Amino acid sequence: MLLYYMFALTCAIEGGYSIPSVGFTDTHSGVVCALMVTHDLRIIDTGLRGQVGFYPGKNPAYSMTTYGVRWYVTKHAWRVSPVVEVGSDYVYRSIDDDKEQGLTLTYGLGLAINIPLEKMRVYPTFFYEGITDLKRHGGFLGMKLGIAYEF
Amino acid sequence: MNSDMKERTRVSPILVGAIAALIILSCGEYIIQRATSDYFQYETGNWWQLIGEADTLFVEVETPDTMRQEEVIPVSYNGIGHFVFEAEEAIYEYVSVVYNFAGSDYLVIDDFIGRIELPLVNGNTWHDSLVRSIDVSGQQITARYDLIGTITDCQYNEAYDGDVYMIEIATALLMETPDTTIIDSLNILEVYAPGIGIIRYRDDTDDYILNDYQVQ
Repeated sequence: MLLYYMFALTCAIEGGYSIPSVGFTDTHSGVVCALMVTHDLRIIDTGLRGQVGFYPGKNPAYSMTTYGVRWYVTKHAWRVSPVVEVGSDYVYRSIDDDKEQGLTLTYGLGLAINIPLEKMRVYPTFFYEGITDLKRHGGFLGMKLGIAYEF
Repeated sequence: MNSDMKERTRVSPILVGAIAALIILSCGEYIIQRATSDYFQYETGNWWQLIGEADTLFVEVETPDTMRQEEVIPVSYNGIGHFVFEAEEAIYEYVSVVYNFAGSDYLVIDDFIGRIELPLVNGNTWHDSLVRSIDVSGQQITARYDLIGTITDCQYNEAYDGDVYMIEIATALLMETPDTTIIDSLNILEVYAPGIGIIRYRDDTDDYILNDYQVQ
């Protein structure tokens, strides 16, 4: 499956800004960046995204970092396309040198505005991203800017 | 659809299912619960009744007050008021150290000390201290109040359906006058559960376990 995505049609890089909107009261807004590969399945486009998020704490000694992989579905051919994704994040909470970590489930909904430029595509995306450990959930609202290249 | 595509569509649901099952089984750390829960529940009217071997401890949150231009929450431990406020980086507690001389009380320390660093992260240790000197009838009186806190454990507690934090707090007061030195220390252990608050309190006299509580 990974090989299948490695020979995908589109590679992209994304970066953006994410605001804790549900649950997280100890962190400020943070940054997210992602690398992704997408495959065109004619009806829909599907792909894998590796994403890192960093959220500095209101206590300067505290921060939260997420490392995740998501599987997503979208439709690049549309000018405005919904993005639906599910995946998993490994979450680190750290204060000074002490850390806690745990695996979580993530899910997301977004809206991408696709601007094609020959083989490239620029797409700002507005998204909500939920994260849960099956006990409690939190969420982030954010905006990302992506640049994709179609092979 | 060619044979390669058929193979992919047959394998993919199994792979996706296996990954999903692995993730669900791995969600045992409750890291989001730790990051999003309120462990202190300092709302007016909340109370906790803890039972020790020889005594009962009743902890109650009273109506907010103002102290040193700061809105504080009085938390009564069997009628003895502790004044706290929750800032972004810590829960602070009011400390006063009084020196009695010739029948009059002189305030040596009158300030807030960082009691519990926020947010709670297992293994974290913090230290705060207050030092002040005053002059009383030509004598210099110096007081030093130190607090060291450590989160010694965090583990799942089935009774409270969540990860509970165990916090050890050690305080030491050193007051020096020209003719005496007063040393007073206290070791406390407190355990907090998400959405509930304090569930265990241990000091030099007893070890109290939560019996009943009311939180809003």
